[in-house]
Amino acid sequence: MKRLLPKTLFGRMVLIMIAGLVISQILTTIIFFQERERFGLRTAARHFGLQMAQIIKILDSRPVTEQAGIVELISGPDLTVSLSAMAKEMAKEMASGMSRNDGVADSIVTALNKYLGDVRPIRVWLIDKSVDASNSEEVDAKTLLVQARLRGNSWVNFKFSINEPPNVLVSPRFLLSMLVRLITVIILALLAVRLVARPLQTLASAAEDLGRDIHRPPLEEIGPLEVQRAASAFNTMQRRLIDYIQERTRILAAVSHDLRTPITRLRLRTELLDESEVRAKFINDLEEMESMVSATLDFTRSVDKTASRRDIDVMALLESLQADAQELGYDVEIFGSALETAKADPQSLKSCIANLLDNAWKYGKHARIIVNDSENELRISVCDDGPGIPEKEIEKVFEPFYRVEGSRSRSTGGVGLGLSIARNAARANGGNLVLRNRQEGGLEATLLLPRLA
Amino acid sequence: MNEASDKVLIVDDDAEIRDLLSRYLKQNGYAVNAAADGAAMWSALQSDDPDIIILDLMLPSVSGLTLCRDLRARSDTPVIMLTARGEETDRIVGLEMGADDYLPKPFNPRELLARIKVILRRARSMPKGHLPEQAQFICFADWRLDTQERQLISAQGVVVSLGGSEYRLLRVFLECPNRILNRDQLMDRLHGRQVEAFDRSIDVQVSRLRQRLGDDAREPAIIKTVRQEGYMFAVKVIFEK
Repeated sequence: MKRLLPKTLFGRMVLIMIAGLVISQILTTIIFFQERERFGLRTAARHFGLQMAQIIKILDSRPVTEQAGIVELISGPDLTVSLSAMAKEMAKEMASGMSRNDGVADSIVTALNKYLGDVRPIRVWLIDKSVDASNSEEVDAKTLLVQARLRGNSWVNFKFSINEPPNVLVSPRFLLSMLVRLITVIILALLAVRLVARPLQTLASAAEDLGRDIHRPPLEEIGPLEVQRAASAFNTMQRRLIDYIQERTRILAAVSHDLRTPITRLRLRTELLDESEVRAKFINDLEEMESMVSATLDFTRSVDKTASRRDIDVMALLESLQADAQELGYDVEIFGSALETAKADPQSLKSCIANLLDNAWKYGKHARIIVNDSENELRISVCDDGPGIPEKEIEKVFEPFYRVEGSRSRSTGGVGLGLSIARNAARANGGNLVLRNRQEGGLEATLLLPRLA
Repeated sequence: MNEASDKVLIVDDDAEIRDLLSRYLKQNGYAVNAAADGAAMWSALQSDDPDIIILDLMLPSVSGLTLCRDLRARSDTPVIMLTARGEETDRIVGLEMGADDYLPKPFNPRELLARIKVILRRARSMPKGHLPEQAQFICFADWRLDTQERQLISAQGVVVSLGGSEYRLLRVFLECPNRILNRDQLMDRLHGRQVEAFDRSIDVQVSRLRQRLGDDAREPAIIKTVRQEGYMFAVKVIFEK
């Protein structure tokens, strides 16, 4: 059952509305036809009553010898009039086809009595012609049989054929109106769905954006009350998230910050030490602490950073990083080139790639930058020839302070913030950072920057 | 050591750092005086005229930035700013207020020593009374150099990043436009040392900078080669305050 249910809100809404339409149509039609039949028969009864009263009056006023001629004169295709000496009994099969007369007989008797102005024996039958189909060509018809006693004690018999109205359910007009109604329902369902689905979609894409940019502008609190409430709840959630992150970031920043003065003192103290062997070890330790502190501060800044995007000459950026690296004695090769400038925040883009290069040197000897540019996306890959990252840890390494097991020693592992900073920077620029172990060995970190139309 | 007579004034509110830094600089041949705050600095300046001032940004009552600005109004004594903050904006503001250099805490004492050396050399090679221009943007040819972000901006607004040594070399040229600078002078201003024989690293850096500036190496319009002498920055330089 669930599998048959349409997947989209639109589909379900259309289904519900069509079901409603069909059910109401069926009910309406049933009631309509019942009413029409009853109303139609009563009107016919009055009409026939008047006609019969007139004929009876004429026959009453004439001698018996003339009556046969008159009867013959009046008879037509829809009305047969005959005379008989005795009241006729109904044929058995006819009696079984008698429909509920719904007060038709009463109506006719009442009408006759009223128009004739007297009370005389009258007998009425209403017969469904369909049962009598064997001796008639007309199927969609009913027969009304009426007997009335004349003054001369003979009886007059009336036989009316009542043509039923054609079956409107299959008529083109009915089908057309049904089609119009269906189309109306689908259009209305579309409108209703848009009314409901648009805020839902907005909410969904806002939630998606929130993952990338916590500082995205808040949702507009407009529209129906329920939508306003959802938007306002979402905005409150975003504010709380921002507050929460900022609080954590502030704590982290404050600690790192306050560590700087003692580290400065220690560095100076170390420089004043006489023993050069001890001094070198102290300096090593202090440099490590220092790099942790500055990495942490870089990280807290990368969380806070709201990028201001500008056109950047990507190749110049890469070459400047290459030049800086060469000054420090590291080897970087650049392959490929960008088709045009990229829109990004220069500082964060630089720190992103610089962090990737740092990683490449930490784990491998050579770093290669491969630039792939297309209309949709600029890809900057930094490849190394190191050991790569175990597949199951490839997402975890983005978590702050996470280090791959086995590289805990800080000499190779670093603080565990480089990739977090790089990914934050990539996302602040509307892009992303993904890692992949290369088949030839080594890690490939790719910065993806969508080119916005 | 020829810096033996150079006098350094340290302004820092942290007594230990003041003390340690004094000892360290003394050990390296400087004459050192120290002050804990602005008031102490002004009184120290009355009795003595230092060659360079090392100024902490975070000082009680009057901040290092304010002190630096007030100092600039009276003298051109070089200033190195120290701060516990590493924010880019502090560096920018510091340089705008007239500091010659900036060093974030925790600094490497040897790095501080090297910077002091470079700044003192530069101050000496400048004619007396010549202040290094302080501006966020320096315009030349079709370029604007953003000294905050250390990047070039083209006429079309495209950001062109510069490597550290490319930036420093460009700043050296921008400080003395239309003057021939030989390799020794360039090396000295960049690294505080003399060119060793057959050292072509300056030429490599110049050619890289030309490439960055889109300057044709065969017929350079911005950084011209002066045969047998050195290089000349041959375009007009405008400092945008």
